[in-house]
Amino acid sequence: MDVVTEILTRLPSKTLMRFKCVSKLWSSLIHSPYLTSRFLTVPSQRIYICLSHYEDYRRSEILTLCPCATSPSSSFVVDHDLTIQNRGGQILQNLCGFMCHTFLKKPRMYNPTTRQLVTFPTIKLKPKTSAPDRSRWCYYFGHDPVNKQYKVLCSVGVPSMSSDHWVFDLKPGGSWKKVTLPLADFYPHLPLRQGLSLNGVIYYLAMIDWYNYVVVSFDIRSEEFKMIQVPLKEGDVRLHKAIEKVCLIEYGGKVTVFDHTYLEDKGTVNLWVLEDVRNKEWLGKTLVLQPCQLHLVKNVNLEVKGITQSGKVIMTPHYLFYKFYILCYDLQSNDMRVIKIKGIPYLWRPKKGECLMFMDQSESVIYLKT
Amino acid sequence: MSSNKIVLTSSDGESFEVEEVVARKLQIVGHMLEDDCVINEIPLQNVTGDILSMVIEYCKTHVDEEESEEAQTKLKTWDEEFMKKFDIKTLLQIILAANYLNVKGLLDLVSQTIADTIKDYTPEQIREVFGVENDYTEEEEAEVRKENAWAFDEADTPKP
Repeated sequence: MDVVTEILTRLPSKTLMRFKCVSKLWSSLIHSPYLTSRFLTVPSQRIYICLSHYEDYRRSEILTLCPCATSPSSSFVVDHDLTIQNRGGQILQNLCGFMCHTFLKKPRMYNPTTRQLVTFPTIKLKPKTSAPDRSRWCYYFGHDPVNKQYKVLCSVGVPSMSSDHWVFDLKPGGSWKKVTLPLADFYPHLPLRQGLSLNGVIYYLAMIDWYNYVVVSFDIRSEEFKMIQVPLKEGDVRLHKAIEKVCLIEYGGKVTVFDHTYLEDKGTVNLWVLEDVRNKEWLGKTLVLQPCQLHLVKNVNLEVKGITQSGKVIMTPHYLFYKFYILCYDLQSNDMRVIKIKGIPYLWRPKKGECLMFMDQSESVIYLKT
Repeated sequence: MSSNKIVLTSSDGESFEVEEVVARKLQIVGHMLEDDCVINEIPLQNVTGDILSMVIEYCKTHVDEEESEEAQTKLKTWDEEFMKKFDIKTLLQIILAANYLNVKGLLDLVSQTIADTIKDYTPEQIREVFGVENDYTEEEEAEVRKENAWAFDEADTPKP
């Protein structure tokens, strides 16, 4: 069977999914760890956008956009052959090519390459008191490359009162389990949206009160929590709107706080690079946008959608409804570019909130066993 | 140094006299020569004469792989033309031979050629060409086809 595997690794992912119908043996070869680890086709960069229909919001689809043939660096165009019907939701994370999102409050992992969808159950809570529910639910998805484990972490927080945490180990018969919290140096917190999975650890930003931010780390293998305070720049005040303007990115292989609170007014971005996780050492940096590019950010409510492997931060206007473009901010060369989005079909609009995911890693044919 | 000749014999008794440097491109032969250097006739049990002659043709062309870009481009063009000569059945025999004789370059080349040839095949065509037995029950096959319906071309997939 060696030569068959040799051939299979060279086929496009769509063909592989069709060849699962050949026989049970072929299907198992296609999902074998040997093949999935060797399957490394890098198509081009892609953008996925979740849309819903104007007249019937229940109708949804995922569009795939590829760089435009004539101007690959300045526009992406919809490839209608790759449109996926009846899928999508609020995109939370791009984890090794899996679109991690929520749909009707349930966390899901979706692989646009194999079109495998994994839906996690909701967590059953004990009936609460009649107090108004101000709790905030966040899901973070993580992968441990050593043990090849996938886990989902759910953090539910009420500001400065309490926070609860559950973990779901993705394996046959998996279920939500409550996580034991450390006794010292760990506080109840309000979890914030985008999480990050890096070297077997999930990181997310949280607030322990209205002025103090922390990075919470969760080791996927040991299921241990840690908390690291995010420093404040001298003279800066954390604005209330910071909740939308501060996020985590992976920058140069390190967990980095990307704070663009002052981008639209002053053209500045504060970076806090977590240099040493164990000793909680941060390195602060400020980027100042070139004056000739200030107009790109002036009075635009921007959101961060991730970072490319070459260190470009992808941002979109909060209201993607009217203006279809993204901004690509190269942190290394301090250069911001506009990328136009073309071909959004009539009567379809991007879903509210998190609806866009950027992909520039290779496709993955990993099949999740549930 | 080596104008030394080696005779390779196929399973159906056909003999090919080649220079040692060419024979060494077949790693299986290379290992045998290292074990005992007085061999000058090597029987190759798992490959027929017509296929072995193709493998030898490839090895002769690739015997001195120059680094220069020009030489590389020339070889690439030769590879493409060489592959065009064969139908899918022959390609499958060559890949088995390349695997058995352990000719890395040829194995890569044929694998890619086969992949490019079969990428639009239907599962039925694959079963026929590769001689694969369909071990799905009718229900199982219907299920797996439904799951992967998107991967079939629109024309032969029933609309949902």
